[in-house]
Amino acid sequence: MNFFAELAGSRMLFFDGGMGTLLQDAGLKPGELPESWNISHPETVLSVHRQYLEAGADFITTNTFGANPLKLHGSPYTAQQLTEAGVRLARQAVEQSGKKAFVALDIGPTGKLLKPLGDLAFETAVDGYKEMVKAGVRAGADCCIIETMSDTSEMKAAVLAVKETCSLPVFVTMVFDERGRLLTGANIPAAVALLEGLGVDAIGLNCGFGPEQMLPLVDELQKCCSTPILVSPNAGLPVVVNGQTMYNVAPDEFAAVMAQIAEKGVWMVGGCCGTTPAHIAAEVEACRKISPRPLPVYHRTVVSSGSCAVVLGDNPVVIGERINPTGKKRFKQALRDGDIDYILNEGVRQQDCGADILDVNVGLPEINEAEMMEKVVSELQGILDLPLQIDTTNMQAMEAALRIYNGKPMINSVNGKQEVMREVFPLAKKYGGVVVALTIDETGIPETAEGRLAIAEKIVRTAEEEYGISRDNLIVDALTMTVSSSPDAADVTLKALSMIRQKLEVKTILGVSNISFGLPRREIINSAFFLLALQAGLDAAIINPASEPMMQSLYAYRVLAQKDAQCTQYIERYSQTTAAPASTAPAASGMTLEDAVRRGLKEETVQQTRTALESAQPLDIINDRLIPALDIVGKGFEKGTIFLPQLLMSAEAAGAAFDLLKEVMQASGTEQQKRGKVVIATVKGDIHDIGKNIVRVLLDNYGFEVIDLGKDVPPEVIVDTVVRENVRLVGLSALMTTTVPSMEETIRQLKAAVDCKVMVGGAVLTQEYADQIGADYYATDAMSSVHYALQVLSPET
Amino acid sequence: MFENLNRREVWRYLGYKDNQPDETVCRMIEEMVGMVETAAAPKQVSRRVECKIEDDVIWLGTRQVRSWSLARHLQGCDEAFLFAATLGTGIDRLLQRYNRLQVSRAAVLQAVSAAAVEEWCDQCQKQLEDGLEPGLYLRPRFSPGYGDLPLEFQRPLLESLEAGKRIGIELTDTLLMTPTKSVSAIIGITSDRKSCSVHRCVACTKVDCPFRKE
Repeated sequence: MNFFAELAGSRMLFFDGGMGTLLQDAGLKPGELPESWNISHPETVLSVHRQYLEAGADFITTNTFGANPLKLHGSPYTAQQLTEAGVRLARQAVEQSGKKAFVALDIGPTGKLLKPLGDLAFETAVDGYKEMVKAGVRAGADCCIIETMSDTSEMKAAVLAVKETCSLPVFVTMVFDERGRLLTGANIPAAVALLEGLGVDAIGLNCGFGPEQMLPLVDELQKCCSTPILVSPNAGLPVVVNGQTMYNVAPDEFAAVMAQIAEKGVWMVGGCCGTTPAHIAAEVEACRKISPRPLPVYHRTVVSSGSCAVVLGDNPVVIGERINPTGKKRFKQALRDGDIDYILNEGVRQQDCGADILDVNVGLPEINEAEMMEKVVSELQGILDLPLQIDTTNMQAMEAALRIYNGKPMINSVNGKQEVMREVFPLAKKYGGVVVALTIDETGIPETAEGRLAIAEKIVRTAEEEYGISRDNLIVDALTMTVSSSPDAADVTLKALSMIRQKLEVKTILGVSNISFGLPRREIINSAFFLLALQAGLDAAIINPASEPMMQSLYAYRVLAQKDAQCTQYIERYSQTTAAPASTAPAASGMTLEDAVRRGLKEETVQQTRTALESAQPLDIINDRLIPALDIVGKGFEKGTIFLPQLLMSAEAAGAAFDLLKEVMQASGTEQQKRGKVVIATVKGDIHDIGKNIVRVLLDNYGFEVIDLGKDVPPEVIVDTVVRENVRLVGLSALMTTTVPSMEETIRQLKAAVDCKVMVGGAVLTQEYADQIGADYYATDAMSSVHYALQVLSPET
Repeated sequence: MFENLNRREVWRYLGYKDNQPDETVCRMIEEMVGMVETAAAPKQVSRRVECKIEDDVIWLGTRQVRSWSLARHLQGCDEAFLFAATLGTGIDRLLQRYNRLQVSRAAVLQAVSAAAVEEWCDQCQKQLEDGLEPGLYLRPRFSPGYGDLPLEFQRPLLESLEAGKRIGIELTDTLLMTPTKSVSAIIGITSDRKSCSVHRCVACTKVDCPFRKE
């Protein structure tokens, strides 16, 4: 047991207050790095610590908030020097005071936004934090406080850095806005789910507000947090007086509200910006005699994404099963081609259909699953806010996903086999997550409900006793067997489900559709079985949310089981629909395929392509109808009669037709000749990639094989791809003057390595500029890049 | 917040110049305005500082910067606001989604959110101006990268506003702001009302810019 586990809750504990304002009073200049004073003015820093110890602080926070290697722009000192010096000073202050107090290594944000929204890679963030933590541990810190955090991903990087470096207690405090959200979007339950999953020792709030404004946030935090809470507000809201930021809440006033906060059941209080030793002394005086209330214990099974939490148990949830290659030819092809967009589309579609969580399985023998898993998880969480369920038997892939995942995921799965529990549980313990437990073990799947209950019991016991994973973080799958081969299959599963829920008090999950294997019209059986399982208390179902009969069962169940107040959700979903879906036969619109493309009507274009297929070959439709239609749109764009959104909508409509034709051709064994490969990328340092994406869509249309490397792409990656794929044309985009040098460097490396043409585009570029940096072609707009690509790669057309 | 967003600005960003988009595009624009309304978490931070100018050297509170164009722009101002505003990361997440899955929407969303962040800045600036003592007015916003004001000034500007901690604006290594729908600026405070009515494009030297306004 660490010192904190023993101390916490035995009495109120006190953190110190602000450092920056006191250093400024002592002469720190604006713009000067406060941490540099650990080396240049050690006696001042020491004296601040001493004052806080005098005031009664149990924890003093080192002057290392900004001593992160990623943040030290042009400082003469290293992160390691500043951190070591900072911890030593705090240590020294404690020793000189003769008090029993603790040194908290202060760890602040990196000052950069993590990918995909910013340019900082997750592991770079972890490494930066580790540098600080190592130095802090070496110099004698007693615990770590990660504070003023406003991004869940960054918090996770910092916590992992601490946990992978030492076993010191770690506290995390965050800045929420008045809506109870972090700057990057997470609400309080989501942030708490993540941090409790990671097993931090205290969670809390700091900075941002004064104590008064924090009261409602503390309430919200307490509703979901079973971990000790730490609250360190500013001395009020900032006011600027003569260009100086001031905080005006006086010590007594501050302390009075802090006492209210402590009475609510907060175990640790301190102060942030603008608070002084006088504030802390008043706070200690006001709170000292309050005895900490016992922590609430919430038996909640909860997962989270980067923005929200999903609680299992209140209302059955749908886990979308479609991101999975099993039995799906097109999906397997997407995995082999690295076609992430296809997978992202599957994700968005399931969200639109009403999925609450998405299962992610990208296992295919011929690909590197760990790499693919990491990529897919990172891309999915960049565009969706649903929690994910990491579904793999490959432990490298599992860990890669758990590491990068911005929240507390579902983990699919563990079972009763010792070997599997040994692999999965340590990962679940380290990264957090709700683990799906299948009732199968070395002896197979028991035929009786009692047998499945026994395995569930074994898994729960092992998790709790050997790995310290609470049953709240398990969800048991009693396994659906096929009713056509074993007539009592449904009965056994449902009975096992009920027994497991009641006897073990765990949540339950089922993959539903296996029940109907081998039968016609499977959805009829599936939706009926689903309803029975819901009635038996099922908490989560892994289903295809696009299957309307399944969703109908769910929405009806919610109404009938009083889980849909005033039938709101049901009415919202079904009030605008009719029982018989409208016929899918094309309405006679009198529109030609060319019209549909020109007007950018996707569905109409696909319909017209189907009609055209009745009398023409796919290749002829492409060459005689689609391409000419696109040419007309392109020419209109160049003349200024058609504008960018229309150009793109036409391109997307044609793209949908191309997809359909490709399928038809694949089925008949013919293939469209590609015009050649083009690599496109937004250069390193640049994160504005819309121009590049527009070019991608158009090049696609014109039959080029486009390798899109994304944004912020290092020159080496571009060169490697061009060499490996034997590519003759590269398109680069850059938006800002600051990133054009990176474009120039990329061109230099490309020209040195291979014989290829480079076209460039972007807001700040001009012909002259393009010539200067050695580009072969300056594309003024998207269409001109198509013309140049045709000229370079298929000069005969 | 953005229901009155100037649609003409959106059209202009999409390259329509004086033309009006067709019905399909207009519908998409309205849909994106709705999305921006939901996804945006507009925030702003400002700080009023003293402003001293000597040739091309400008003192803004304790920070110093050299720029002839800013010096010209702030002529006659004894004070200025350092200012930053953002629509937050929600917009970037949406942009990311449509950049991957439906570029036509990304293009429209890009234009709508660019107009929205300007609209948000205008609202903030109006509020700042309303809070001034009588007889004082605000000049148009002037951002790092305009004229010869170095983009490198982003870092001290945002640092002195604590923009990272307060409203979540961070810089990439190449000095681009994240979230991308963010604005940083210096706004001169003056008693000369006439000098405030010029459009901010006037200060820019890129005279061939397709979006330029006089």
